[in-house]
Amino acid sequence: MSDGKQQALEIEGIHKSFPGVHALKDVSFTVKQNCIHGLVGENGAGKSTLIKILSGVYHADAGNINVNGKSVHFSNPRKSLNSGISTIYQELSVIDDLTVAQDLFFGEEKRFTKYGFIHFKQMNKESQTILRDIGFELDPSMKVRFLSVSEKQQLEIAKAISRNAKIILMDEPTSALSDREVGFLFNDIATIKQKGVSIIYISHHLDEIFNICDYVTVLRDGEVVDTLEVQNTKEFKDEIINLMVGKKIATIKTNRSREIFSDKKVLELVDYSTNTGVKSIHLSLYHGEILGIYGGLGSKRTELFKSIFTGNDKTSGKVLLNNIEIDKYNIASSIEEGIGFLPEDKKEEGLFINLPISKNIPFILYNKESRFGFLNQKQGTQVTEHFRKLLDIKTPSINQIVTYLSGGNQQKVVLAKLLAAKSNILILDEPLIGIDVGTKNEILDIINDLANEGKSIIMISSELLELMRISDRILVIRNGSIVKEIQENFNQEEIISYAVGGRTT
Amino acid sequence: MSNGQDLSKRIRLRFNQNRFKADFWEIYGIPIAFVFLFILFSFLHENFLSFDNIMNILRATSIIAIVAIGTTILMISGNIDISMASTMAVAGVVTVGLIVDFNVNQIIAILCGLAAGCLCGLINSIFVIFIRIPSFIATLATMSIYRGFCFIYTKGYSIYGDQITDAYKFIGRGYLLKIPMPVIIMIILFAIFIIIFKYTKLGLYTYAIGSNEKVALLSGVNSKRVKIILFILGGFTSAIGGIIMTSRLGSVQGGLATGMEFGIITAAVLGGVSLAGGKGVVSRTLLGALLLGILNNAMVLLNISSFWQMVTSGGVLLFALGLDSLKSRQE
Repeated sequence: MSDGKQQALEIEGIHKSFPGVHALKDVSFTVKQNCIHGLVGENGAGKSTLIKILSGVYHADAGNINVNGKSVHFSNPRKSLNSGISTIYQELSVIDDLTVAQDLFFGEEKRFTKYGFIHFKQMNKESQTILRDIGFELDPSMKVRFLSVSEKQQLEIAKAISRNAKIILMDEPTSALSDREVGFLFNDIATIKQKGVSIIYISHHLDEIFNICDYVTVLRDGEVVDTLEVQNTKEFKDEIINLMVGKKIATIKTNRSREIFSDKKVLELVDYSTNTGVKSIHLSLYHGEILGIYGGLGSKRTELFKSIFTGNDKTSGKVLLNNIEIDKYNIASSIEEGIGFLPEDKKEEGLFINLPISKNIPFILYNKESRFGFLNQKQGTQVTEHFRKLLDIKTPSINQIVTYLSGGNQQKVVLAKLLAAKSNILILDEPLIGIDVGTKNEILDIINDLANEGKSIIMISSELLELMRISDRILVIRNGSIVKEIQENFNQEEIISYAVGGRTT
Repeated sequence: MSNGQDLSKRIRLRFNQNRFKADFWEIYGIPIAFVFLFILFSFLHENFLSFDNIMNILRATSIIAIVAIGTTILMISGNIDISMASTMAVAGVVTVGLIVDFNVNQIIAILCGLAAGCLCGLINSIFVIFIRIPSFIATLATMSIYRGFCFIYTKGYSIYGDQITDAYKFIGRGYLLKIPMPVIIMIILFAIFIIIFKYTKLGLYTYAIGSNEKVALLSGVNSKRVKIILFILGGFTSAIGGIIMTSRLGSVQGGLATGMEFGIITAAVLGGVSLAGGKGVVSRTLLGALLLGILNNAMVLLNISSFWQMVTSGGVLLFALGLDSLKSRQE
């Protein structure tokens, strides 16, 4: 890598540990000036941790960061900004109620202030100059609310450049964009590259990396596997995927003693689309099977299954339960029909944080089985005690308020709440996240037992090895569509390459 | 590493101690204050502990306590109804108006008054749930509207007449086994609502909605229906309070119960209902109302001017709210 270009950013020997996890191990690589540098890796490879260190949110335990040859230490995000590193997160941080100019100079109004009044005309004029210099056509007096997502991204980029950013970190910038808007973003990136800015581009979509990046660094299990110059060839793509997955490439055969794929279809989707980006999904779930769902960020897997459960967001298509089409339904009738849903954001969507465990776990059960509106508290207590033992929920008493439990135990309460409801179809969105290794196996066993009892399970998980171990079939979802259905022989490399767009059917 | 574990253990221990303190005051704070004031006032005034005075306190507290039931359950769900004093007036005007001006049978008139209260609650719920106005603002508006209608009907005069019989006045003035009727009604209502909010789906759902409405929805709760029921129950308890009041007065006027929302909300908050929702117990509101009752009674016995009573009432409300805010900050 010696083509004479100067180094914009040097990262040397970064280490970072969290309790129980060595998230980054001796991470070193160099980003050159005027280059777009891709960063890829599986979920949990350490990408987000690295971004947070570069943007000053976390502190590295050891290692050096040099910006333009000068060693820097970020004790807070402002220091990172001041040394020329700007971060554009997936969730854009523009403020809807300000105008473009006000947002662009947010926090720097002092420059335009005289006797306590802000000179907005001057601000608009200067914004116009900045935007024109970059080549963005945004109206400074326009309210941010009326901008499209890609225009908001332009505003973020302009903000970064106006604050003299030399390096811009972009974390999954395309996850909320349509295909057309992705094109706009790539144009924008090409424009600012010519301004002498380097970009670190993080994405799940390998195609994007190959399209715009000059170099790519592959992270795996917190380590840098390699940094390579990007070539747009099929072999290179395969090589990157191999580097991402590593030696642990596993092929697992499904090995089920129970009878599955009986002709009993419990749930079927025909040409199902939503206004949240799910595109004409065809899917069948059979009696007693575990259907694994794998997909990266922005694959719309959560949107799809949440829509099926809630009956919201659907734009076209059919839902059939036990071969009977159901037209209009809501959450209450989904639960009535025996569908259970474990939300991905368990704390915000699954828990009553200031109610006791004994009210949380039997909640849906109470909903289904109560006489004349009275709760069967004896049954509720039994069920709560049962799951407290089964999932090993650590608490002094089942009357403990959920807030006081540790994060892992809270997750278990959400899972117990769903399992206690005795549903026939279970949609589990990331049931293993935030759960320790020992309990993970127990939960996998429980899920397996449920399938053996004849329940049908849809399991969405980013933990691929576990998913491969437990699923009867795996569907790979990308950009709101099913790109591959795999039966029997699950190959890790194959699944990942479909999920990141390295292979298409 | 062991040092780090030590530290985290110590922090956790410290946290547990603090939590214990918070829990302790949350559970025992008001009862302790109650006992303390009770003992203090019985020393300060000889008549404070007499049977008559205690019945006096209970009777004076009963109307506030009854209406505060509705306020409590609404606040547990994360809503509030501040139109309750106006709703009391509506129920009173409808009942007495029907009896005096239209010669309607007293029992039917009372039922109509209760229905009017429920209707006020239903109207509140429509603005809050379907038009999505925050409940504080929506009921601030209806508070003025309901009160306005009361004055429009009464034209600013009192309504009274011979049609109001002793039987009607018995509700507010009578005694059963030496216990005033309003107190008996209060005890019955509290018993019913304590049972509902401890042992039924409605109770569980109310707490669930106040705790996290999104989770409640995803768990299959029809939160709109639950909230409509709660607002109607709020109107219902207000109507009972209003009717008892007219029975005690033997008449009604448009300004019935003006300013009472203050004491009612104070009683609920003193009882431990959180402004943030999800927390509180119906039975404790009774304790909050009694605490207020003792304070007011003592100030009358001790000849403290009513102007100072106003200052104290505001102070007590601020104290109760401050306690609630400190508690939620600790969490």
